[in-house]
Amino acid sequence: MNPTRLTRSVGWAVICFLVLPITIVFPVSLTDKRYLSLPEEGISFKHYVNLFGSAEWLGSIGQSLYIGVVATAISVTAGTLCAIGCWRLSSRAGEAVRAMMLVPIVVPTIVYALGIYRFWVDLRLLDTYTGVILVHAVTGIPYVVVTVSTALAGFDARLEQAARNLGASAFQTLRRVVLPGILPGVVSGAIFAFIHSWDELVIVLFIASRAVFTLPRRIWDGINEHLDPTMAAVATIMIALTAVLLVLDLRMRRRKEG
Amino acid sequence: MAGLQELSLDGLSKHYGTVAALDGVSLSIARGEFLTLLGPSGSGKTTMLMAIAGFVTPTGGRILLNGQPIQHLPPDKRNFGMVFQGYALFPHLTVARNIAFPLEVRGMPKSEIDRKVGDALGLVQLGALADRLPRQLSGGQQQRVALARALVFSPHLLLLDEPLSALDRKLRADMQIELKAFHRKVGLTFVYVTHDQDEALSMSDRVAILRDGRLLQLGTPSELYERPATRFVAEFLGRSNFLAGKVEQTSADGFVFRCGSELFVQLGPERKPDVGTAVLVALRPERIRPVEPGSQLVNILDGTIAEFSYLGTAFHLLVDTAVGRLAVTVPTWRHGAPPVIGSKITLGWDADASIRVEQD
Repeated sequence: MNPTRLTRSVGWAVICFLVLPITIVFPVSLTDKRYLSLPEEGISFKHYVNLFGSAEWLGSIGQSLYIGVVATAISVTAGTLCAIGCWRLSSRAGEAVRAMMLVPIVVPTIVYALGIYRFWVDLRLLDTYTGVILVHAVTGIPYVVVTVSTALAGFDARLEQAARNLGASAFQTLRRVVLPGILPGVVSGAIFAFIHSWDELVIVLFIASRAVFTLPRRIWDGINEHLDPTMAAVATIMIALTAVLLVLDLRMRRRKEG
Repeated sequence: MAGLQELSLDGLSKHYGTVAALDGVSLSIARGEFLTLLGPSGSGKTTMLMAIAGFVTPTGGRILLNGQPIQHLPPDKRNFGMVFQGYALFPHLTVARNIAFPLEVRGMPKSEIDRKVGDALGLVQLGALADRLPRQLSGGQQQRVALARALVFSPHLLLLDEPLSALDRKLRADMQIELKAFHRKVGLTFVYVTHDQDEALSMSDRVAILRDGRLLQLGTPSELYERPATRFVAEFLGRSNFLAGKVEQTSADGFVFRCGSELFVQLGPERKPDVGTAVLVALRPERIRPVEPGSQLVNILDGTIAEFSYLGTAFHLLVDTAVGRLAVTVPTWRHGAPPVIGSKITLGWDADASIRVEQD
């Protein structure tokens, strides 16, 4: 069936709605004014210069990278092991655990953040790296469980039996046979878990104050306090990084299929 | 090469709830033997192999290796080689690394691994393909890699789970011969699972016939074919006619039984029934031959040809007789002119051509 004019237009409209609001930050980041606006008299890179000269912005980028990398490492380890465990059970129990793992995605973030806040008060984890990393790691697990479970669905269980039969212990089998087989799923999960931590704002607003100041939070404060176009420059960089990661993910999947 | 080992199963059972996948199977496998587990799907043959390999935990009975129970050992501690259905080669490793895998996980020194992998590649004549990935190989080559990988660590015995089922007919026949020759060359005990009767008959030293989780009969291919114990075995291995009748008279080495209006003589070493008992006699189509009317052969039966098919080396006839429709195979060279449907024919067979079987 050929797409009609109408479906084609609707399709393009949806794409525009999705993409155009994102692209607006590029011209804004190049404005020659000192407030959020489109360039009027010329293009200027001064906000990028400002960004890379600002200890506050650079500090936030560093914090976000650090938190993102550590949280991703934890999410990937826990999520992969969880997915493999569910795959082994391959019964209703496995299905139930997998469904439960999706709770952090399903529950509204603000509800989740409130719960974590109360909990972290008691554990004295408020405004600590450990606290933020733990939350980001836990909320990143679902992405890993989903991508790794998908990879495992296409993994031949006989390979695992073959490895055990050939004398490999359960751990050797995991490391030498199962993990290489599901690696694309693991990396996909890692990319999504990192992006999740990289732009997570709501929970950070609740559990961090002075010591931990991630990049999304710096942008949020910037918008609330003064409409500095440096934010647009930061947003451009964030979008670029996210896009690079997604393209990486896409290429890896294609390589696996090819 | 590790010394040859003796494996035996003692009342091995596997129950899934109330369903018995394996129901008290006992047998012992001689050193260096090629034993085939044969049965239709759901007969328990694969469950049995998986129990030996350690992937299925039996709910009863024991598995003994040289008299030592091993049913609680995990698969990686049993040192049994296995060729899986579909081969289960590791797709991310080259041929050489696939074969090196069992040696690497045993922590063998690199130089020794290289030497053994080289030997194994030579054994299956795949030296030139050492650096290929499994997906770049043909089905037959993949099978040889799987064999080399299963043998390189000097296993106690080799388990094969329908290894030829993925191959086409022609290649399958070639690989049967190759496997058989291979078995002779390495001298290891082979336990082979298949549902293909021809494969079982042509390759094995002994065949175990399984049905519904039970061992029906164990014997050499010719014993099973010539002297099936039950109707199922006779039907499962090749084709057979069955004559149901009542014993009229017994003698030292056989009995006479009545089948409808006809009387037949049956001679054989099997246990003699009492006069009056119901018996079932199996008669292979190739043991029946067309004879002249009034022949002196002990068992004679008149009939009419109902169907025939030409098989190249033989004609296959279906003949309507007083005791029902019988299948008869006649070598082409013996028959002369092609048979004519509807024409009269007289059939005959020797008294020791048939065998009494149990109804099951």
